Amino acid sequence: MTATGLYVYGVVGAGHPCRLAGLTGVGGPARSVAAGPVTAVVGDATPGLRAKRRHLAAHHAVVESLARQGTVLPMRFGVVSPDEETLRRELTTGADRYQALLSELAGRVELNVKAFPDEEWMLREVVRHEPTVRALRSRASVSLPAQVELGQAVAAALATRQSAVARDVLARLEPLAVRSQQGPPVPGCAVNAGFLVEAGRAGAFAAEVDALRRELDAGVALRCTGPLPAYSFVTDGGASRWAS
Amino acid sequence: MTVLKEQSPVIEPYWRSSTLYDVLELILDKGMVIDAYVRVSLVGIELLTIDARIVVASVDTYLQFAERVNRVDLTETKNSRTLPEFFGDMSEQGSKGKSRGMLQGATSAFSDALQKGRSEGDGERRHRARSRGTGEDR
Repeated sequence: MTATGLYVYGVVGAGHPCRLAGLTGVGGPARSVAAGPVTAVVGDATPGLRAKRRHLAAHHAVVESLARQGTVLPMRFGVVSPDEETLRRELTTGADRYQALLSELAGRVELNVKAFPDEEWMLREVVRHEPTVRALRSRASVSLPAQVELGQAVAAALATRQSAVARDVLARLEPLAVRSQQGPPVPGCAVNAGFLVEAGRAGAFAAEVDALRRELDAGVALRCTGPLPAYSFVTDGGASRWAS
Repeated sequence: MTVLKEQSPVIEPYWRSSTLYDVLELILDKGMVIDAYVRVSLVGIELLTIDARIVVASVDTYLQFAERVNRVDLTETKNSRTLPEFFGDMSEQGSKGKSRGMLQGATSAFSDALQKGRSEGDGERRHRARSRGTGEDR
């Protein structure tokens, strides 16, 4: 499908400074479209827009810049309004919801936490502690079915262990957040979660992640990213998902 | 105590630029969507996701797990066996690819990027590594 129209980066409130100079975005300079109390930050959507690295980076650069300046409702990559009139209509009819969401997110940031258990370490743990895997592993048979059976047992044991890591991390960090939201699955990642945190407590949150990292088994790498625009808290589970 | 008003910048000393690597899946899967609007084609990305699921559930993956778990040498178990020729170069691949992700094939670039990110900490180089997973570079 040809993507012409207005590429939408995010929605901000009337109080947002909306400084857009130097923000080029995916298809040209970013500009604002105001409709009553809310303003959308948009740019031209060039034909052939795809999820290429530079386009993704451009999208994020604009959204992040807006987040640094104030509260923003970040759009997912690739949202294009057919024209300005449609956009204005949407902003007007949805104004209450946008404003409610904006005030809910005001002064809050998202922190993303990922836990990557080291695969070699996990495999050793599995061999050490899983009787089923041990038994299958020590069998004499090296036939294809036997190896597949072993592999399946390993995969199941790994999944169980990943869940355990996830439980521990979430239980520890959730009390510091306003809300948390499961992130999309990432290969090799036991936990991928977004935490909505009061901006003033983001430092404390990061410190808690550091503490947790020290306590966790050496085999688990814990990464904390942010503050980020609240990508995870403007859709289902975070707030309302809208259909117009 | 400062009260954060909406118009006041949410800037704190720890705020640093996040790399694309850190936020890729959020940009693609989270964020606000207005259903009436057009969503640009994300063919490359969707394929990557689907492939990952297929690869995870494949016999090949189980064999790789088996092969790798067979190589695990615990100090108290000295009976680690070598695999027969049956697996051919696969075991060779496995032994020199200790740092590789479990997912191979379609998702190896993705996994590699994650692995890289893990070992490089917060370096900007991850940026470049991750780009292989998003189907640009042409």
